[in-house]
Amino acid sequence: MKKKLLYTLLSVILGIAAGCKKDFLDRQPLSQVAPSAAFRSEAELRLYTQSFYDRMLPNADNDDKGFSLYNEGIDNIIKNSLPVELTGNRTIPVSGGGWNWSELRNVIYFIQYHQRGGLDPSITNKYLAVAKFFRAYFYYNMVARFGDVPWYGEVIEPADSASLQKPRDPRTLVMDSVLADIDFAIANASTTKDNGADQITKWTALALKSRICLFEGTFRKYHTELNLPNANKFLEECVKASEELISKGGYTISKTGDQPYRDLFASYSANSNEVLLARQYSTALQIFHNVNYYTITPSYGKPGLEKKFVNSYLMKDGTRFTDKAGYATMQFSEETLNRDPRLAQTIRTPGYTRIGSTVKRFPDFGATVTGYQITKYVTGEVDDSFTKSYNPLIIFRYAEVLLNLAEAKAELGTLQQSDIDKTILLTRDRVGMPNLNMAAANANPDPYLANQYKNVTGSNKGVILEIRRERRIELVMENFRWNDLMRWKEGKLLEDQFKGMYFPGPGKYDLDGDAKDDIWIYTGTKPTDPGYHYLKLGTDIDLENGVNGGNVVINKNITKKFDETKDYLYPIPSGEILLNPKLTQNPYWK
Amino acid sequence: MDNRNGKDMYIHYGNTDWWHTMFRDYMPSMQHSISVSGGSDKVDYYLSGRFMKQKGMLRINQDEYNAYNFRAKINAKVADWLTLYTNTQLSIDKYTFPGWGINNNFVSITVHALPSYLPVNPDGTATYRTELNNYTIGDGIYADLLYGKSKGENRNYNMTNTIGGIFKVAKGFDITANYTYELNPVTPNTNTYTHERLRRTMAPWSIYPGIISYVGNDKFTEVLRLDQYHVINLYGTYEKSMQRHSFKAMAGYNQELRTFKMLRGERTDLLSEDLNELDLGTAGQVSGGNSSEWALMGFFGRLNYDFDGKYLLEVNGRYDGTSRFPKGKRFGFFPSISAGWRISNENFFEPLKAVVSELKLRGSYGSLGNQQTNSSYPRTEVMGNGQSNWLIDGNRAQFLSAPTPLSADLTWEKTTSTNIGIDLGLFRNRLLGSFDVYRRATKDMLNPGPTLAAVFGAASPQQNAADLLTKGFEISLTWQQTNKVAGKDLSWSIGGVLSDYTSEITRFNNPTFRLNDHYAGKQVGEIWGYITDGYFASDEEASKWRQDKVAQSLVYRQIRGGSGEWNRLRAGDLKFQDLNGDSIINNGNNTLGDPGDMRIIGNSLPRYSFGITGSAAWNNFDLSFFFQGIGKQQWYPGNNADKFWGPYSRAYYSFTPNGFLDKIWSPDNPNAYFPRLRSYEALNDGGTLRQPTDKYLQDLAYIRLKNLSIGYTIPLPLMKRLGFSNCRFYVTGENLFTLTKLETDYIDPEQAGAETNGRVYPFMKSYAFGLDLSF
Repeated sequence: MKKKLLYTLLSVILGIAAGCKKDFLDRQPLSQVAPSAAFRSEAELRLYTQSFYDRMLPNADNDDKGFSLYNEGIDNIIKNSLPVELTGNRTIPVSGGGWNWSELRNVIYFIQYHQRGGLDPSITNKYLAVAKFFRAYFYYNMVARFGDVPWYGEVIEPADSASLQKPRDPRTLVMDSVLADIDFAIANASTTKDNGADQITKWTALALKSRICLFEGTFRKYHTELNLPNANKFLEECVKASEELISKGGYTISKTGDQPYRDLFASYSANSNEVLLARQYSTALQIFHNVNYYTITPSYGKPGLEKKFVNSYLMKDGTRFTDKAGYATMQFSEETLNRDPRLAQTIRTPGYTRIGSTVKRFPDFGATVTGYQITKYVTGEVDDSFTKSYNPLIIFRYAEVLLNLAEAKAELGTLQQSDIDKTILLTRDRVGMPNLNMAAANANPDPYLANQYKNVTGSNKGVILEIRRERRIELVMENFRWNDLMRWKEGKLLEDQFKGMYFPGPGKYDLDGDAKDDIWIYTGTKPTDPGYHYLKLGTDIDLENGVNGGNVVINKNITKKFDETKDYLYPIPSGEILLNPKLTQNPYWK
Repeated sequence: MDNRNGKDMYIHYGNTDWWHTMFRDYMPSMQHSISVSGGSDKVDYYLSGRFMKQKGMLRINQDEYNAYNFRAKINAKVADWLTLYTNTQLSIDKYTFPGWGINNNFVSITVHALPSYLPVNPDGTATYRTELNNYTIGDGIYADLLYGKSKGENRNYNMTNTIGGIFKVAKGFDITANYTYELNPVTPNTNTYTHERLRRTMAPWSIYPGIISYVGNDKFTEVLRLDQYHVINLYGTYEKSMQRHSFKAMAGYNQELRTFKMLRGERTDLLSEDLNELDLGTAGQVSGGNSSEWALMGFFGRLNYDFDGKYLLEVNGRYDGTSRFPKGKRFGFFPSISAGWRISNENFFEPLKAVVSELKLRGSYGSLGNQQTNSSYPRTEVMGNGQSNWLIDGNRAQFLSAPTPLSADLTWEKTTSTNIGIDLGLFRNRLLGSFDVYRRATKDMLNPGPTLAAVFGAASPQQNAADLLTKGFEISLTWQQTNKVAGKDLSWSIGGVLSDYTSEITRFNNPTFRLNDHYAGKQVGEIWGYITDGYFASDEEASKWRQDKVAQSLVYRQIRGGSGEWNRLRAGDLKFQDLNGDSIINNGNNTLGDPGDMRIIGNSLPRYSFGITGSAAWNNFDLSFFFQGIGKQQWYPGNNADKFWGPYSRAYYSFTPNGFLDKIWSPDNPNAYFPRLRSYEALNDGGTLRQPTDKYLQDLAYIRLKNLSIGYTIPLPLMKRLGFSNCRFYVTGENLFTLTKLETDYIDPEQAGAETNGRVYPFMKSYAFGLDLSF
């Protein structure tokens, strides 16, 4: 019996001992690969570069990346509250505030380790080009926001206090590095035109270079207080990049449809004749954005175009609206007659119908504070629910490059009428507008615009003003305005009172020109007649002179302030300066 | 019906009780259990089963919880020297719900469902978007529930089996070996289940007569898990008593392996709205799966010595290794020692015995290890991978990305405890009591490391970053006795427990004392906030207050961002104390040295937890009750605690608490609990109510009658005749009443303690009638 016990016990113990291997505690991840096993094939390089797009390019519905793809505000599109950038109430945050570097870590990791798998540069350079495109894109946005920023070429280890405690590098050094990155991307990225408009190619890199160099060149030129060198070098680089894209890229200005400007944005697929890169959406995958809902509901600040901007749209014959007698007191149905057709393809004007509908719609003051209700990017009524839009949102398109080229040359003083014929003429041709005449513009600079852009001087003043007009109209809602005002050093413009439509006083008004009144601005008790959109003066709508009429005024009680000594840059978070005392704060921020 | 904006549409107003449109007040439930046990001198067995069903609180397409348990236990004495046993447990539970998932249902209905909206149109179609102000009622949940096709199901299938044997090697010397296999261990509070199904369909609604629109998308998701747990134990025990000495020794080995496996599939646009399987999907095919594992192994030993029941000594030791830490840092040794002295057994104590029947002093000192980390592989960097929302050729872009940085030298967190206690029995053990004080010093606590400069570009990796010191005590007292009442025995008892502790961080690398990290000297749970100074009495006072700097105040950013006349401070707005005198109400540098106008205003740890139990039995009747509660715990309602904030959180909040209007400031009610009514003040950053303030800090102290039960057992002779050995009827009630200092009737203090917004399935008052039968 004792023997039986011994044998049974022994076999149990041996059995357990056999199961108890020496490496029992060596457990390696089962669903993810070790870094040492990465970058072994071209497919893995491509996969890695695909991590940059979603995380680094702007989003639609929120602006956690600095800009949202349709949510532009500034002085182009007015809402019922003002961002702190316009009230002068920006404060120094403890953390955050755009000082976010996680995406750079992801990009640099690739740049540093992508050859770990031993692949030949003839294979890897194409992907390194994409990484460098994104590093240039990242640093361009950081410099635009903060000015001097620390440059990093390698991934920082937790214990690397030298890197963590690094001071800011001068803007000039950072921008030279950005230029080197984008030049590498241009030289090495794929040259095949991307008909899906969803990947970075040589042509996207050229478009980015055109954008960055125009920004930096004009910023250095106008911000004389900073004494930055080489403004012209950047403008010339902009010209070079833009011209190469124009001559070799094979892109055109799209003229499809009877409303080609509207359809470029409302189309369900990216028009790759003109669009280089767009964020795309899908009903099948249920990835949507919210642009329709944004423009037709009261929930998002009731966006509407600003009056001064609307005034800057030319007449259809190329003459200036603001040269017309009585332009300032013209009512909506009259002021919208015979204007640059892009106006009617950007906002609701008389006769507007939703795509796919024949019902005429007038501007809804329940969804727009100025009365100039946005229709750009808006598709048919089927997409009107909360986050149900799925038309692509454009990040880079050819028209911008044309406008960049014209502006860079004008600022350099090398602009010719023939340059305008290759650039501005094309964006105007799309909508049947006459060409810009450079000599006429310079001979008679528009006083209305000159009064806004006060820093423009010189023999090209007239044409520079016209190029700025064209840029604002063509690119509205595409998030260029803030950077444009910053680089032109025209932040003071943001202090102007924002306005909307003109009304001579309380009363009934016809907004769509069908001789039937649509809205009723009333005082006292609300009338009861059916069929009107009622607006109580002083509550639902404010007019400049109250019962004596005037333009709609928005946020009239809020003082706006732009302090030119500090507001062209954002402050560095105070918590970051605590962690790294070598990080200095931007001038006059305290 | 009216023509608005050129279209015929339903224009109607109601007075809808959305709460009772959505929820029930009563939830029936039932439970049955049965058990059988028996055996011979060779074999004994135990079998039991339980079934439970509970209906939920949703009114339309009610949710339902079902649970089934089964257990079988068999011991067989195979030989004198060997006993074999097996113990099998099977439990299945299933929760089915309509709509979008229980929390989504709750949260959705709290917005945009104003009483003035009607749930359905005259033609019976559901309402959703109100064209007049474009609010979307309940974000569409009502329309969806009414349609009834969206639904989900969470199931757990858990099976545990232990087989083992006890070998009697010699007298007093046993060796035990057992192996436990667990299939799909249930990990509570993780919101993961063995099997999850979720179907969302498009739900019809209407606003234009005759035109049906749809809210939502059609999608079906299914998740299956196969988790396993293997445990092997092998240990020997040896016992020996000689005269007044008794020894006990134990030594053994233990190993554990836990594996996780998950598979997930998703498709959209299914061929049927009633059938729910992946194969029916026609688009949007997504699949995923992953697995992971961790392992533990260890040796342990224990020695007990007891002299005459007076002196007790125990020495313990564990040597444990974990797969979570890198080689060389894997193993930890955790010894402990405890001793006891039963004074009442000493001869010299004899004279006191009449009063003090039992007195024991206890003391212990020892350490324990913790290896719980937030992943199974906290030491091994891996490439990130997944798929993003960037579409390439119409498909989601797959990607690889940089590894999350990790700390290379993680090791065990070690807690050293010192405990001193007394056990006491007085008046022939009628009064039993025990009192313990303890001190726990945790070294190398596993915690995210100090925040690194943002240029690092990633979160600070988990490290053995902090030391912690916890001090506490626990008291329990019970009185029990028997009296004669009406000639029959009344035996009754009453008892209570009270415990409390506080914790302080004693080490953390944070030389500038930034408040977003731990710092040496920090009390765990401390709440930083602003000190208020009443309301502004007049618009004039408000407009003059810190006039030039008010725009820079963090706490007024929401007001200042308002539109029209609402962007100024006005009478009835909350006034703050400008503690540092810089005219700007903010958190300064957010450091201990410069916290701006913030101070420590409270602590979120529960203090003075207590319980009171009582029981009585007389003449076949029995009664018992249990109260529980805490003495103090502070809570600042989260920004979505809308049952507390009402419209101060969201203007379009569906439910305004009863009596809320009287709590809102107005010129006629200048001392109201809440300030001038402004929406989003509690919701958005920069709102006056968003950051903790002393005024709205809540005390979650409560006492609750957790359980009360009354029973009657049928007298023995009667039962015998009926063939039962025991038969008892009972009535029990749970959560019968609660007293609390919390300022709202709509959030339970335990809900608030569980989630900062108090958004968890509510506590139920429940009553049960039952019958216990034994044969």
